[in-house]
Amino acid sequence: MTTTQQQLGATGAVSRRGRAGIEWLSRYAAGTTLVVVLCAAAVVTPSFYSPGNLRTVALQAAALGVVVLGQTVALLVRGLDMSVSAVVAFSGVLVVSAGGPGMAVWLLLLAGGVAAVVGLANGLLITWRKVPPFVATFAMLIVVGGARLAYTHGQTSGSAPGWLRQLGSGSLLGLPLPVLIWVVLLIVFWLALARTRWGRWIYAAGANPEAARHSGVPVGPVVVSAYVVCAFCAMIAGLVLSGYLGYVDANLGVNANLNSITAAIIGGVAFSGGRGGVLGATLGAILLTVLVNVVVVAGLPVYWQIIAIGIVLILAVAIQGLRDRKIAQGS
Amino acid sequence: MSLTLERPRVREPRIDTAPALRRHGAVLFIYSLVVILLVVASAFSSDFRQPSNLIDILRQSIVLGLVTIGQTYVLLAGGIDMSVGMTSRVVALGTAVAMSQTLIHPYVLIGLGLAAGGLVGFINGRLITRLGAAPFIVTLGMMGVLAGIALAISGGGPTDAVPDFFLAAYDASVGIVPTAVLVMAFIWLVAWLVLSRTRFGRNVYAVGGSPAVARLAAINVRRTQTSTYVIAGVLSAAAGLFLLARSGVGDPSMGGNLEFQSIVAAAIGGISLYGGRGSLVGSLGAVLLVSLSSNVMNMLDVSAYYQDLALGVIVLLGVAVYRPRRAT
Repeated sequence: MTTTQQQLGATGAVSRRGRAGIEWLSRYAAGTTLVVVLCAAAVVTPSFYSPGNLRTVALQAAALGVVVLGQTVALLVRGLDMSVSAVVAFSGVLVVSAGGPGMAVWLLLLAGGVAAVVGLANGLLITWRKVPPFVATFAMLIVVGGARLAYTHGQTSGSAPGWLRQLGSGSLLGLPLPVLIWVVLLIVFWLALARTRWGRWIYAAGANPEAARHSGVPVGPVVVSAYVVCAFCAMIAGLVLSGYLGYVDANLGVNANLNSITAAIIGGVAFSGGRGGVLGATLGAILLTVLVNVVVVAGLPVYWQIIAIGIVLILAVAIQGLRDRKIAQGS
Repeated sequence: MSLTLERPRVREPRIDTAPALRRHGAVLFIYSLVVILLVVASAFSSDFRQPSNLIDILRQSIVLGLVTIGQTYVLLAGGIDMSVGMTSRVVALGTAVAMSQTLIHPYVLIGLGLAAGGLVGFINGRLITRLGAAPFIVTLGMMGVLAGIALAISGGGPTDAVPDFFLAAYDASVGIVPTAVLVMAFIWLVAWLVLSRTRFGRNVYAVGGSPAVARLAAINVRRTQTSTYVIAGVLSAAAGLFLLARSGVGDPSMGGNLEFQSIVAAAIGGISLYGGRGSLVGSLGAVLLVSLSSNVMNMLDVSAYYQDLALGVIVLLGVAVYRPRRAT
């Protein structure tokens, strides 16, 4: 009973200002923290701002950023995709085995096919078989990872074909091509989510699937499309990444799951679906990349990278939790 | 509106066998797979049916078993714990370093290790219940923090060897049955009794089924949920200590993937990831199935390269075959 009474008391004490503060924090936390980290970097490690390092950060952010776009869509429909790291890694297999001269079209077709199959399998398991998203996409992670291992016998290493390397390391108008791809995709995603019917369906299906169904939203196909989009993003990121690195090995994309989910959550995408967007998630991806890079440039032991990510993630989700609680109490 | 806080089994008094079959479908499915695999493998391989091999399968299931029990408690109360694997890694590495570099009595260190696991669970539970944050994300963040701490402890390389008596605990046996297996069987039994026969166990189901209804029924939801994370933390720490006793040195990669394996084992065993449904009997079946199938694949000389694929397909079929009944 004490719990109920405490909560009743808290409800009475909610101030509008506190609620607005939490709302502001949850929306702009990633941007604010990013500015703080960038300022701190200027003081502590000015070498962060060397052109070479900035370029590295931009390229790393681009690879992560593309995965995050897809992960955001999956999170928006109340799901999550644990199979992105396996898809990124699998793109490496395709690059090595189908990346010969004149095989560019084949490679892209194959990559598209694999992404479509993985995304469809995820989506159908979740919508048709009612498997919880975590379990379904995690099972796909094991299957895709296992398929990669079975096919390559552990020897995924090889070099990327010339055209892909040019794609990964070339520049246009002074911007590295991967960053350009990332920006174009970001604009496409932002427009699609904010301006099209599909985008509205995604938000509706995530905010309240039951209500969405009653108002005529084809929730099943929308959810499936979210996972297909997510798989495609992971595949594109893998191709760009292997082009930028110039070679492919078994470490391609190992942290993609944790990092992409973390970036989206830091960027204000609600884990409970239906809230947030790709702009915030992109800020989250940039923040994550900068944070990891600053740890390296500042000469801190490497384990601080992952500790910092973990702490930032817990803080971000704590802010979201407080916001949800305030909203629930206010209504 | 019924406020029944018994386990779902009690709710429908029908004698018809079909609902019972459906309700226990997952459990029956798992155990039939276990039995089929046992019979087929015994028929085809004489090495497999050696008692020593069968006992080995049980011994190999201990680590996953400990973690899965904790994960089952957390899942039943409506949470999820992604930090169990890293908890076992930190405890194992920390204990190994402390045993080789300090003069503190090893028994005290074992106690401290278990307490550390409990502390991690307590922090998880407090963060989740006090801040209303999503359990998956909080424990994912904790997993990152712990992975960093583990790296800081080990420096990326193996630690010094642990004392001999610690290794002896792994090899000790009563007759031909290792003591560890007996202890593990006892832990399964106690965990099952607590869940199915005590007030706390009923509270866990009630909280996972519907926190709001549980609160109206004067159940302390926060304390119940936090307790499940503490249980998961302590059991993960125990799994880490057992891993340490098995390998003899602290390996910086130990305990990896345990969080995924335990969640998948619980899910295959019929524990609802939405909370409130399932039983430890199913979890035990799933843990035995995992241990059994990896043993069988080794016996059949299935190349390690194909084992992951095979495991993935099994998991995929397992979760796709039956529709989990959603809470209404």
